[in-house]
Amino acid sequence: MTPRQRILFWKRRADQAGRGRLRDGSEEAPLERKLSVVMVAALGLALALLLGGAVLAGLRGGGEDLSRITIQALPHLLAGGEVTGVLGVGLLVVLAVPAVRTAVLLVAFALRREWLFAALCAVVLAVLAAGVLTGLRAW
Amino acid sequence: MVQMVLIAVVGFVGGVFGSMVGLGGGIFIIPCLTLFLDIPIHSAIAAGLVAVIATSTSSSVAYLRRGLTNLRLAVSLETVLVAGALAGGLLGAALDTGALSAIFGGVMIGVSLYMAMGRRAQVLPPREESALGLLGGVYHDQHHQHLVRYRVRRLPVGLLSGLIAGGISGLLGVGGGFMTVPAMVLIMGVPMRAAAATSSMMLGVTACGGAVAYFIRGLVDPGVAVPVVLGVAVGALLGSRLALRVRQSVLIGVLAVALFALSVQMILSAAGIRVR
Repeated sequence: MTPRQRILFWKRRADQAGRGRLRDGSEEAPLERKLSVVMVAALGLALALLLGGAVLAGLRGGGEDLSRITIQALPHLLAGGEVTGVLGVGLLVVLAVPAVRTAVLLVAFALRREWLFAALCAVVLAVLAAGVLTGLRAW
Repeated sequence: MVQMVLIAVVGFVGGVFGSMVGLGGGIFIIPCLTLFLDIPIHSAIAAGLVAVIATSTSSSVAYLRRGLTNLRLAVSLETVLVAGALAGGLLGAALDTGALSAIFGGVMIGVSLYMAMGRRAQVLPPREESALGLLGGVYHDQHHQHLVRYRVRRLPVGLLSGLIAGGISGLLGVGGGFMTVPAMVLIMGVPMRAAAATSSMMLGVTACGGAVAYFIRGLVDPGVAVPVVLGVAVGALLGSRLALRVRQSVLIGVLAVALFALSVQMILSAAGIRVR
């Protein structure tokens, strides 16, 4: 897209959004749209798990101890059908969104041959992974 | 049950406010949880960090669809933000965070007053469309009904600010939007609307490391974090839509007030003074 085409594209999209008619056009789907779809899906999944877990907890009378959630305990909680497990997975999905969307950006930039930005995404992911590993080792 | 609804309301208000100005909402959520709802500070901070990610995700959806988020600038700043956050987290035990909070609070009071007085950097649209540069952007301002084009200036200084913001985020366990938004507006010449949208995107990555560390240590209390996240997700969705309809000067004013309140809170905390 030339800069002029880019401006016209965003003006058209903004106009559509302002009238509440935001939808796929015939143009090539931009990176922003793909990314927003991924984020909506991830957020929807997380909210469904959290809401479902909250409703389940309410139906069971709120007798479960919700304060003992750790990554290590998560598989056992899920296997035991405990509400805490469902809530834990929901929270994990929330925590995973930034890493997932960075990975999506990495792939998208690489497909566009924008190697500089693909490399920057890889650096972000590497530092995030280092942070998680450091946290796990400290624990 | 009533407690959970109140926690969700706190998350909702934090989400609306945070997403409008590119903050995570933690500066509102954490004090409210601890001061008014008697939530232990560790649970409040852990819930605040998860809330920052939820705010970032929820508000970014609206901003992305309207082309306000500058993805290339976001990715560039994220590299220094996450590196700073990791370094800050590792150095946290060795540094006097109280003194750091006081110094940082003092600096931020100056920044908030500077922004409130309207002496922000002038955004001069490049004459040529091709002069936007590698990181420049263009978006349609829904409030003024015109196109805004901007070129990112002083990138090295902006990256340095991002590194410091990340370090402070890692040290203090906050999102970092309170520093990245002023840096983008005042130093890099990014319009407030685009800065708020881009910052919203970056916040999630900055908070991710800290939130995961809290989760691994078992400090994320679902009884607090879940209602906060549910409230924040809805609030941020609303806030990001509201932000498109209000004037840029109003957004800057709201940010200035938020920064001032945060600065005072940090200085009081460093001095050992509790509000309650």
